[in-house]
Amino acid sequence: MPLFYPGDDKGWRGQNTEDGFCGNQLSGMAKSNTNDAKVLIRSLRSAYAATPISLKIIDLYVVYTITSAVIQVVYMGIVGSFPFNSFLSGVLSCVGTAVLAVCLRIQVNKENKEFKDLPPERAFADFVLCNLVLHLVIMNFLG
Amino acid sequence: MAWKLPFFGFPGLICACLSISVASVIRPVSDTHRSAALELFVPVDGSFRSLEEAYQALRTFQILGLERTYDISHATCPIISEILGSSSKPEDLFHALRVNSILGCQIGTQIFEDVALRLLVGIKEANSLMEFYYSVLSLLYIKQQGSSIVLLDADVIFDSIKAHVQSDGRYRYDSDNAEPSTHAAGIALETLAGVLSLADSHMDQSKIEVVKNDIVKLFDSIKSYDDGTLYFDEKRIGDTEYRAPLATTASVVHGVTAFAAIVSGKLKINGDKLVGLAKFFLSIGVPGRTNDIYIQLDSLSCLENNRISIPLILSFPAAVLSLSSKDHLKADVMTVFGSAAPPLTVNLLQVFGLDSEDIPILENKELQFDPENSIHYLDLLPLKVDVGKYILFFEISLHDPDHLNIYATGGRIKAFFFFTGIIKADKAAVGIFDTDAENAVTLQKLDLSRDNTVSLAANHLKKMRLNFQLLTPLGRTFKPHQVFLKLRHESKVEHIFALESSAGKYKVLLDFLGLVEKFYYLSGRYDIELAVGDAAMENSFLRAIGHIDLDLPGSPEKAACSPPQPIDPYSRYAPKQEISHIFRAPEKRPPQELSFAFLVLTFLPLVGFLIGLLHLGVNLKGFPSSSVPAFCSILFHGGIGAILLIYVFFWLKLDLSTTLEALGLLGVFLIFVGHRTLSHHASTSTKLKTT
Repeated sequence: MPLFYPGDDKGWRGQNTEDGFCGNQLSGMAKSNTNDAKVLIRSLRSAYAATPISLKIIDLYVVYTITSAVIQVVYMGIVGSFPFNSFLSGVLSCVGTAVLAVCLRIQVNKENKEFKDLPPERAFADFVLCNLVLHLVIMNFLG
Repeated sequence: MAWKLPFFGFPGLICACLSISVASVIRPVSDTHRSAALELFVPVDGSFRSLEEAYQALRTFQILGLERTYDISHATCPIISEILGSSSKPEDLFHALRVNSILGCQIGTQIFEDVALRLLVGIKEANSLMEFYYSVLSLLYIKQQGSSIVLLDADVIFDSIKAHVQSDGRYRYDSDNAEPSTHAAGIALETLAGVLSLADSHMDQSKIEVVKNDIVKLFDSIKSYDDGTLYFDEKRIGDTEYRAPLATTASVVHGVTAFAAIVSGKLKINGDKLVGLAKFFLSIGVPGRTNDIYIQLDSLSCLENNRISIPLILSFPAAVLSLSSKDHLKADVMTVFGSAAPPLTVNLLQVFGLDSEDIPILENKELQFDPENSIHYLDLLPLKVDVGKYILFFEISLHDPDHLNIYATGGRIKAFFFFTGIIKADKAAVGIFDTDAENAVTLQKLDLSRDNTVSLAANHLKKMRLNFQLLTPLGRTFKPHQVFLKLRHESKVEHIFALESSAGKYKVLLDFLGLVEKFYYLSGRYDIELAVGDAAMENSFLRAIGHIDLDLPGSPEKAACSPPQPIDPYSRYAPKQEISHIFRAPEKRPPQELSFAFLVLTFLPLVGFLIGLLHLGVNLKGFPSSSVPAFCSILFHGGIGAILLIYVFFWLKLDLSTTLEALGLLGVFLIFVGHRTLSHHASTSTKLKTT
């Protein structure tokens, strides 16, 4: 007979065990931790699914640029930092544009009361302008 | 200088010769002048450039006896006829007439008489000196052609010319021109002489005496050079035309000799002054310009034939005499054109050495005359003259006392002479000794008449001694101009010591202890050479004494290195040593495969991004449909793409300024277009919200 039984489909599943009472209790606690994590992740995922697509695009963009920066750092770690200015250009381009994207996300997010009056198009225009200036500097520094 | 000049012996002698010969380069006119005149005066297409030059050429050839050289009458006579036929200025008539006086063109007497009439009329209106000069001398030339010309009112004209005189004997060119000029004085005197010869009656003698006194005053302003030449010079004042001493002196000589030829009685001018003037013209040598050679020869010709005193020139064929070759002191006395002088004797009055100018070495020797060569000579050998530079004073005494009125001898004549001879170097010896044993030293004898090969050895604690003495042919001690001891190392580094004598003997002491640093601490073999040179020495020498092996201590760290010796004077132009540049070691680059792998890896996030976008269901439904907003949107995206493309070009090729210019233009465009697009987008989204 199962001892603990959440009962819910979204929650944990019941687990059959034929061990003793104490062993059952410990393994039960570990199992409950794992179950809690799974529930948490599931709830996060469902909450995230509710976000607007525009924000998701921006999040994807940030993930892309950060990954790109990480790859460049790994490469630098392998081959050394010569020429250092090029490395800095590459990494700061990725990180800079990620930062700008985050700023855009903050401004565009409708749930953010601070930027309620700011039209998203204006935020996008700022994002484009700042990116262009950032990349001018990056290209100059690239060498 | 990259090369070392040989600083002793023969070149020094030559320099001394040149410096002496400048003082006594005065030689009478000779064939050198003839060949120079032929070279300078060359007609072009049968005539000269102007009548003035034609006259200069013809007169020069006439003086030198070269009349038949060129025949320019074909080209020149028509010009002369034309000038004489037309109403020309007195200046042009003057030039034409004087050329004609030598050429002798076929011109009718009537033409001459017409010209004379015009000149006689014109002379009454003349008031400037040059107008008088040209008119009077033109009339004189016409008179020489055979026409009888008489100058009426000669005394009026005489007085008009004389009105231009100043108190010091100089004249002004005209009454307006306030500056008196010596050159003008010569012109005026020549004109006055012309007036006197054209006058019909005798001039008042008192007026002539006044002019004679003016001439004497003019001669008071004569200037002199050190070698006894006399000349006239003008003061340079402001803008007035300055005439060089040659032209000024020539003008005065012309005027004075012309005047003296006309008047009776002698002018009170010292004949020695004329000798000085003759020497001035002769001291030019052979001029290189047509004007100068004409002036020189014309003036000398005036002096040769003048009525005051004919100058006699004492000149010397050689001013450097060799005692060893037993040269005689030779002098010759001639007129300025090399004609024979009357019988005379040349006396050597005094001889002074350069260092003892008060006490004469010799006095009163008479030069003997060799009639075959017309040379006066003196045998120096019995006079016991030593080598060196001397000042000699001569005097000419004419045998016939009447000749004193005709010839001028020039008084006391100064000349520089240089006697050279063989200098004997003897009692030469060299040796090495210790510092403390100075007196007890054995010296090796040297023969300075040839190279020696003495072998010495020393270290820095020893000294080298070199003794010798120099004697003149008469046995006196001699102090030459240059006495040098040269030590040359194997590496060609040279050290030169100038030697001083005491009481006629040379005792050289080289203390190597003090010279260690000067020698750059270089040990090794040094070749020793002795150089003695002087202009008076006929046997200046550079002798090898031998060699010395010097053992010097090692150089301390901060000692100066010996200067690098040039292998070849032109080695400075040879290619220089290759410079080996030191570069920073290039950084280690990663292997290409790794780089490519990471290149691919860098694109993977982009691919992931695109896949993610597709997964999210991104679409272009929000793109405006109506034409203008759609066009603006396209331009907006196109503008961003263009800017990114410019960034790529910036990285590849362009510079910042060009990029910023392009960016500025595109940026403005993008702002405009972007504003349109985004405002349209904003308005559509608000409409959606409200509806």
